[in-house]
Amino acid sequence: MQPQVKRRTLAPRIGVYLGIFTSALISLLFILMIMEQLGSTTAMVKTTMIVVPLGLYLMVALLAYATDAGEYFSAGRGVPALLNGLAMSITCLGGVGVVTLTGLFFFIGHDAFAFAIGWMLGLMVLGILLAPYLRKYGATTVPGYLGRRFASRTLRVAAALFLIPGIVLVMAAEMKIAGILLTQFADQSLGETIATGAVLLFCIVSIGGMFGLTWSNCAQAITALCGILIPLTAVSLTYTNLPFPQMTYGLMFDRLGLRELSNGLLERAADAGPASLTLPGLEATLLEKPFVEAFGAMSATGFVITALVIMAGIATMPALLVRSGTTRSVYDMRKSMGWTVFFVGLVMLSLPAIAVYFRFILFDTVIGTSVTEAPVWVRALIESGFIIVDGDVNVLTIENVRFVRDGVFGGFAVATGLPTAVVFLAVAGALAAIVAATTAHALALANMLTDDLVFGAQDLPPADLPRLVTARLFVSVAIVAGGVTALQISVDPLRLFCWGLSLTSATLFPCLVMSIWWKRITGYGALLGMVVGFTVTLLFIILAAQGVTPTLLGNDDLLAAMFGLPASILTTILASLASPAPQQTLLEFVRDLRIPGGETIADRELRIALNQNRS
Amino acid sequence: MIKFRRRRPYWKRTKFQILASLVLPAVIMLATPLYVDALNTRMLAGFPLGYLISTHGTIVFAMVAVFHFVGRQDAVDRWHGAHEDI
Repeated sequence: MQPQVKRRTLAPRIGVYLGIFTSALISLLFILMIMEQLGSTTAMVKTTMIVVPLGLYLMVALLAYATDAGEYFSAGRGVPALLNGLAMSITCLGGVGVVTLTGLFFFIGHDAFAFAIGWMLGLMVLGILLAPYLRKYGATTVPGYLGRRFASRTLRVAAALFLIPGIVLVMAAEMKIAGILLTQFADQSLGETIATGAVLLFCIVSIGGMFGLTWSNCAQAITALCGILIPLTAVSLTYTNLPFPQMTYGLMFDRLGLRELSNGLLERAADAGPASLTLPGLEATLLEKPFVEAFGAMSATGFVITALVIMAGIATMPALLVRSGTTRSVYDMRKSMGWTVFFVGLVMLSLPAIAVYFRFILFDTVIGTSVTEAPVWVRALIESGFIIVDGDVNVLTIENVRFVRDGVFGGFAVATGLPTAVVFLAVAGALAAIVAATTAHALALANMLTDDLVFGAQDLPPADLPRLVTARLFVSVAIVAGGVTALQISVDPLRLFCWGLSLTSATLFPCLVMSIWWKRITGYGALLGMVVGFTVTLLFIILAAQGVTPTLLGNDDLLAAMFGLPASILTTILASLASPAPQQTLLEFVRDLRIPGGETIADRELRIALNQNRS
Repeated sequence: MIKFRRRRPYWKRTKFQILASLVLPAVIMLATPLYVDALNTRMLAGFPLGYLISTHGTIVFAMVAVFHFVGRQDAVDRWHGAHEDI
């Protein structure tokens, strides 16, 4: 019988604090709405609504100062399931999952569900196949787990090196979206956004590590959910007299369908090539596809491949995987994945509602009017470059008005005609998602650099002081790397995000899944699989950037993992079978990993090693 | 703590649970959107039926599948004595 372990819940009143945060946010919204009625300027309302929540995240991070390595790297293994789920959901969504995905729903309607289904499937794979077992091990970094699983320091270092580009690309994508959002609403360039945001990100991540990040991510998730749901519910009440916009937007379909038809939006076939996608990019794009039409932007095969590629990427996102070590138990980890799927599902059901209502507002109030008669917000979006009118036209039609994909989320908030404070609550929500994702990726990268590259060669982890100082220094390195990449590479953020996911998944997915579910896998097989997966995916991205795209399937470099992932799976299996069977000690480790009961493996091994060291 | 001889049946039952909670839902979630056109001829709550099933259906199904897995896997753990003593 295992002795009863009494675990301390870190920050036992965190639920109360988050309740206070939510009340403060809602109070701020009401105060600004009142002040707006009393004659406050838009600039004041805008600045307050964007800056105050950012200040609150910083305050949350300052209050949650990490004192030892256990708190910094794994939040003392004391995070409740619901809050871990909340933090994970906003980490995996980020700016791409809120801002870019809304734009995709707006342009390609039903077909954007390939991404939504991929996101949900990825979380299911993570929650069922991976996270509970990583929790049993007590992983603080993914390469650290792989190094122990295969008893190979080479594998640990190689995994850390291969994961760096993927994480940096995803961070760069998030920063680019922040730049676009603040260009639209605060007249700030990408460089200014990164420069001002970097200090805030550094403070949020480095003060409390995983401990502070968890609580600030929860606050950011609350802001993001408020920013998405409050304007959307208000619009739903305006148009249908019913709340629950996720269900009421169906009532708009009849009228929207008629308007789409009368404006010449006709069904069209997807481009030739089973895996070619016709997605809006960074430039302004014409609205060409009816919302409900299936497979107009991608074929049915492309839909499935997109979903699978996103699935593999989300399931192996290092920022999510390292969160598996933070819960109190394996059961809590499973439960927290349930909450993650719930919150992400709620957002995935809300974003198409935003797209449908925005389309309806456009057809109702913009299309068919002249530029001078168009609503004020349309003229403001034209001035800021988020709506582009082709040529000098009298009447705005669907053929001469182009929209910027990443401006749709903000555009909807403005188009609703709601008070300015509500509009900027939506902007603050999107920014919260971006900050949450960027900080989580930065922490995952910094911890990996510290534990796996700097101290990876040691048997025992170093003393807390050098470990924490190095980790905090590497946070700044990670943020600077993401910022420089965002400034240097002028590529669509969705593409950067998918490249990042592809590189990570092609490297990690096969060896991570098989390390738990296939005992015959060997260190050689895992290493070779990682090398092949990473190389094939990177080659594919580089060739596509040079304009050399394989025409075999007509595929898009957005789906870079579609060759790398199968190649990696095949190599891992064949190389494992060709190499000698794993040692008995490693098999015993896997057997232990598969049983939820008993002490966390990493903690037990550390305790034994420290005892041996003392004696 | 789980007894040594119960490890194999526990893992077998866990694998079956994965099939039921992950593989089957994944196949359904990927396959239903492929039949959206055929089902769109009928309407439900204002939505074309195919659209409703392939979007709301798949996402709600995923939520139910994960929460169901949490409960079932915990029951499997307890049945075989593999659960945590906390």
